[in-house]
Amino acid sequence: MSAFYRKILLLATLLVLVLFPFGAPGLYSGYYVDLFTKIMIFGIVLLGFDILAGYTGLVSLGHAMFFGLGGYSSAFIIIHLSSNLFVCLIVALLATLVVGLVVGYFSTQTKDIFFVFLTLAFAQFLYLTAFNLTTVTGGDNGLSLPQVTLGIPGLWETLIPRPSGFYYLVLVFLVLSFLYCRRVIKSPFGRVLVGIRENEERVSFLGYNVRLLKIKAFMISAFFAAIAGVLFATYQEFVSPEMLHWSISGDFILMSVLGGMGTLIGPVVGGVILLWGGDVLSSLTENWMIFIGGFFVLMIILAPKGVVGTISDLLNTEKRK
Amino acid sequence: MLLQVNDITKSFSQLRVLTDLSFEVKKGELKAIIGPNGAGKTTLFNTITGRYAPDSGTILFQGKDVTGLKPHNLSRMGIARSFQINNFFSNLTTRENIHLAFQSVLKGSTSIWRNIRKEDSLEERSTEIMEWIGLLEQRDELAMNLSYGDQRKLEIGLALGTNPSLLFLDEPTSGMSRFESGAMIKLIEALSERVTIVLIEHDIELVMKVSDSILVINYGEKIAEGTPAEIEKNDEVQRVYLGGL
Amino acid sequence: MTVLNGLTMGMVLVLVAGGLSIIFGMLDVLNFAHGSLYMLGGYLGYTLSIATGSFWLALLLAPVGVAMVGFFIEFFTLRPLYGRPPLHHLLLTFGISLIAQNAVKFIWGNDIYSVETPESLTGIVEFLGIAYPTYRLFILLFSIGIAILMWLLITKTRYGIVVRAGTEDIETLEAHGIDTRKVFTGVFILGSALAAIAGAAVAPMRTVYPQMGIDIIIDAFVVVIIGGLGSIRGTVIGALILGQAIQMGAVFLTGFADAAIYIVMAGILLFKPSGLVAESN
Repeated sequence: MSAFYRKILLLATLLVLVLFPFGAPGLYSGYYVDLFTKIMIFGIVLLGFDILAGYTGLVSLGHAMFFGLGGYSSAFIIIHLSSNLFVCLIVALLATLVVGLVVGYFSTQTKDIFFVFLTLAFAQFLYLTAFNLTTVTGGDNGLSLPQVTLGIPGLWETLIPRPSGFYYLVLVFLVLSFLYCRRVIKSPFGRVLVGIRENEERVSFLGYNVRLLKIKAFMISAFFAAIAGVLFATYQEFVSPEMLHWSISGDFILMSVLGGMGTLIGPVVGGVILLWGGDVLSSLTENWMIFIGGFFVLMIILAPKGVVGTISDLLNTEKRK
Repeated sequence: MLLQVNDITKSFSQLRVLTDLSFEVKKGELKAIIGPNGAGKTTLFNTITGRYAPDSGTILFQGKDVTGLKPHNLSRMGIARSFQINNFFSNLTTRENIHLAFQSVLKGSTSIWRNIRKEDSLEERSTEIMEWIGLLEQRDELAMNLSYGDQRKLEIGLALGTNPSLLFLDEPTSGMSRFESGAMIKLIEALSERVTIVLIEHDIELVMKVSDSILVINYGEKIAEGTPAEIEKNDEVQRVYLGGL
Repeated sequence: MTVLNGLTMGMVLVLVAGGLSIIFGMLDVLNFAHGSLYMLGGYLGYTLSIATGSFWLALLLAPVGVAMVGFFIEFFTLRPLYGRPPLHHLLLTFGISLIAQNAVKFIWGNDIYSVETPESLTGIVEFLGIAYPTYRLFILLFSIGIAILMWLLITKTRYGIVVRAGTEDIETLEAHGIDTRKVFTGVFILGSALAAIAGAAVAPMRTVYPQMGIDIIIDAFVVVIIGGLGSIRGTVIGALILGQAIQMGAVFLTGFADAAIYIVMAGILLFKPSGLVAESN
């Protein structure tokens, strides 16, 4: 597919997303605006996650750690300090900077499956902390938070109208995230990340500090997860340890693989498939994950490059003929 | 003196692979390292280029102590190497491989905001390297789809891309046909006009022809060092190595 | 007492993680569905013990049933995937575990079932001055017994020699004209049966519930990873360490007990990034 058509497709998608809330409740229920807000929040995580897992080849099973960290940071800020979204974001990013550096530093000592499980260990540790520190985090019951505001603290602040106000806020974040991540993968830095995925040793013999670059990639993807965590918590007005649980990290991987790792847009498509598809299926049967599992198994066997990866491969061979 | 290796020793658990090995490399020369299989040649390369740190001994590059530095530090100082077994980026094209190598010496090589693709020097210099090693026509081929001979060239091209002042080549002709290795040796001879080279090579005749000086090792120890003519006359070398051929 | 509990726990983990470890060593497959097989062992054991009225018959038959499930998994889903990156295997079996877990919920529902302890093993025994539940002691001895049987199978039989050789060098096996595909299937079936034995055996102690597979798989993975992937010796060491860690955690880190396994794993991986008994290349 040529760059031109890809651009058209992306712009068309954007147009649909912009117009989407106007269809409710006339064409479809407002429930879908809510669902799509959540899907787009996951999309932000998945964009960042692809830089780490898809492009650098470091599959983390602990990414929920930063999603939850963003969530809990904003919960504490809104409850104790300020209801301003930007204050939440700044604090969440600072917290992520600290935790991410520690976890990233140690995790990147290991490779492959050891990396997968070391990140899991760190994340579960955080999960269990949130679960058990009942006095601070509310434990299993989680924390409810007041509404978040937009604006300049002390000068002018406004509540965000729901559902569509939040929908557009998230959409803006999603678009900015996409532009930034695309910038990253096309940058010299992004090229080297692919080199690390393909042959880490040779990259170091070409004069690149692999460890440092891995930590950078880790941090970037952690920041996106944290931003998404802030949006998720403030949108739901609720945080619970579930946000930190490894099954969320597992979902990130599941979505990325379904959509196609290392294609940037693929994981987001995977998120749409899993969340929207899951929503449709769950209204049909309680054990809908059976179908997701089955679909996933078939994809791994038949199309391990995911939906987007496989389609773009097909289009490329088509072109060569 | 470009490189001074002083008394380096390297063991793996019980096995001592290098013992008190010393040698020097002069700027501009082409030095060959020969020795029977298992003599420790590749381990010597690995120890100098940073894959392992030596257990003892020092390595000086341009007068600076570089013992135990990591490969990326050494690469930035101007030491590059190729590998005996192809070690490039199979799923990238020739051009992307070379880009990755040459990008490392450009300013902002790992920047997120710079767009060094737009800087002419990257494309220009990469093209130059691909032309030099004879892979210009295969530039959009995936590395894994290149012929074996071309892959060996790419292996060297990657090392060249980092603009080294000292180049280690680990058996560049390994696995090549007689005809292909002839072309490879020509390439190396041409290269040695521009850059100091340390070469591991199996083919003694070729080594005698192209190198300025030769280091012979066996069981991790130095047996002899000298010009090709001196090595040919050396009895020790004759006995343990050349004679046994 | 805590040490003894840890030992029992550790031996159960040896059974589960042992299967995981030989499967990885031989097939290069990290089998996330291993916990599901354990779970199926528990559920089948429950149903069979009610249907037949005999716990012992159930303990014998449940692994046979699960072994068949293992055969289907290996034959239809893993076979096409040999030679792919290990991550694909992990993801595939993750998908299978999703199917298995929801299938179990579909068939048996969300309820927790308790399996009755066989009468001969109820009560408490006293030895060495400690009073210990008879059934736990049975589990401990039973696991050791199975582990010894496995050890004999692997070191003394022709099949075992093939398997051991296979964990070191597949190509040599092929060069000797051994059909490695059959060996792979065999190993997977064996590992599945081991998981099911453990699942069925501990059911009277731990009950049977839909989450049990997920709960055990994380522990088993931790064991195999701190043991150093594919090393059977490492797995045994890892299992015994983790068994102790879990029990110690329950005593000293009340309310935070589950964190013990992650602390142990992170601690070990920080100092030994490739596990305790790393294969030397």
